[in-house]
Amino acid sequence: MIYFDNAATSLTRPPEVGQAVRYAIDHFGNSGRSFYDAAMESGRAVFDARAGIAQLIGLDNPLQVAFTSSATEGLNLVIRSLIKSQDSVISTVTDHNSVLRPLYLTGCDLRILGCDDKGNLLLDDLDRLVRPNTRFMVCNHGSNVTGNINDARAIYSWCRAHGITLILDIAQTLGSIPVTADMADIFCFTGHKGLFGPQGTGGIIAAEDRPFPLVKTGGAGTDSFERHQATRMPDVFEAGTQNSHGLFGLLKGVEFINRTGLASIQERESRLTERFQEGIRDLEKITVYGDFSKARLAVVSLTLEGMDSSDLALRLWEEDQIATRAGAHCAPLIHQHFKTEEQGMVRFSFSRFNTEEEIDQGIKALRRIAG
Amino acid sequence: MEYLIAFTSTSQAIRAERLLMDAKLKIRVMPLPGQINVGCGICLRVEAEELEEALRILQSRLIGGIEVYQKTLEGKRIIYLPHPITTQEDESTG
Repeated sequence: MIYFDNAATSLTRPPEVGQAVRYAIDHFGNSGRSFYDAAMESGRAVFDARAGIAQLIGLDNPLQVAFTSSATEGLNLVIRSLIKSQDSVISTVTDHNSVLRPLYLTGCDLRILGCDDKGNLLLDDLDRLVRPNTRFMVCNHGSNVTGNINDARAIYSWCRAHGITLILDIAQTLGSIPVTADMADIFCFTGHKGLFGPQGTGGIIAAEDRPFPLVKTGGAGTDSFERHQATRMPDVFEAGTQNSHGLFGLLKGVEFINRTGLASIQERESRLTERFQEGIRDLEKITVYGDFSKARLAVVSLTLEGMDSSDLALRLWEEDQIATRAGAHCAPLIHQHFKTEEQGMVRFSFSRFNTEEEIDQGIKALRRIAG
Repeated sequence: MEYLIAFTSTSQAIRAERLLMDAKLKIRVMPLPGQINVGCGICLRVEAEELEEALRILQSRLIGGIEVYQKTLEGKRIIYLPHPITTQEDESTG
């Protein structure tokens, strides 16, 4: 198999990730619940995973990192904690349902920022969307469909000038490109994509050590005789037993990234993406979506004229054992923008573990089918 | 003489343990005695001669809400007396 679905989840990981999970499942007690060796080993692993994420994003205090089961759970918790029906909120046409659906559920007044024909956000339109009660903007740092990187610094600068809290979805960017704590107020990340961790890991990062209104409570190993759980980070989002087995694996993925260096990962992924895009650009029946004139994620989404995306993905799999993702990618607004709701797109997404030979086989297969 | 350092959350306690272990202090994790009502179920035991250094490290890393207790014998019973060195209470407890 040639695996080109890394934007959905990583498949090839540093071997120490799986080794760590296997070790943890046989040795770890319950993190933060007791004092003996097995419990403390678990607790230390969870703490070290916080410290690794904090180091990656440039935060001094690891306790500003709370773990959840996914970026989706993180976004749900933060949005439910902070956003009320009377708020006006800005999101974008490039956002995933993990942002949009929790926002719809709040009943807030949601304003959607549009994009141009290359999928670039129309940031000048932000001034037109803002209302007196606009308190939040929730958007992605990088699109899971176009692979475009949004200018988080420009967005955050605008938000601060308007007293708006920015919640940044970094599911597609953390571990692939630089993400720093000065890009937003709150970040939601996943562990199983760019960070090479196991599925079932993710979290919330608060750029400042701040309390949050409670939306999830239960056993926390703390304040057992109080009716309510603490509202400080990270406890506020961590009721229940932590996934310490998975988080020990995540720690190994993060250590791999901190050791390898983001610049090296980004450079390799960019080279593979450019090679692929160059190899198919002359195919007249192929339409590629996104802006390839600037730094971007290792994602190439495309359509083949006259063919449903599911048929193309199926042929790639059955004829060449190439794994891609067809359909709407849980990002309905960007597909409506490009009028691909029905046809869908086939997304090729690469990782630093892909090889030039695999890219060339992908090009060859696509040229044969589209020729 | 031994002292206990108690915290308002387990994640703080584990962070503190990491910091003090990195500084090579002879600390031990133990369950919080029932007579201390701080919140977190685990605490750190520290030797008297290392208490000052331990608190200096924790305070320098902004770990708030710490309470310190001195382990004492009252007859045959162990009691924990509050020690005056206590950092500002964390205000974010819900």
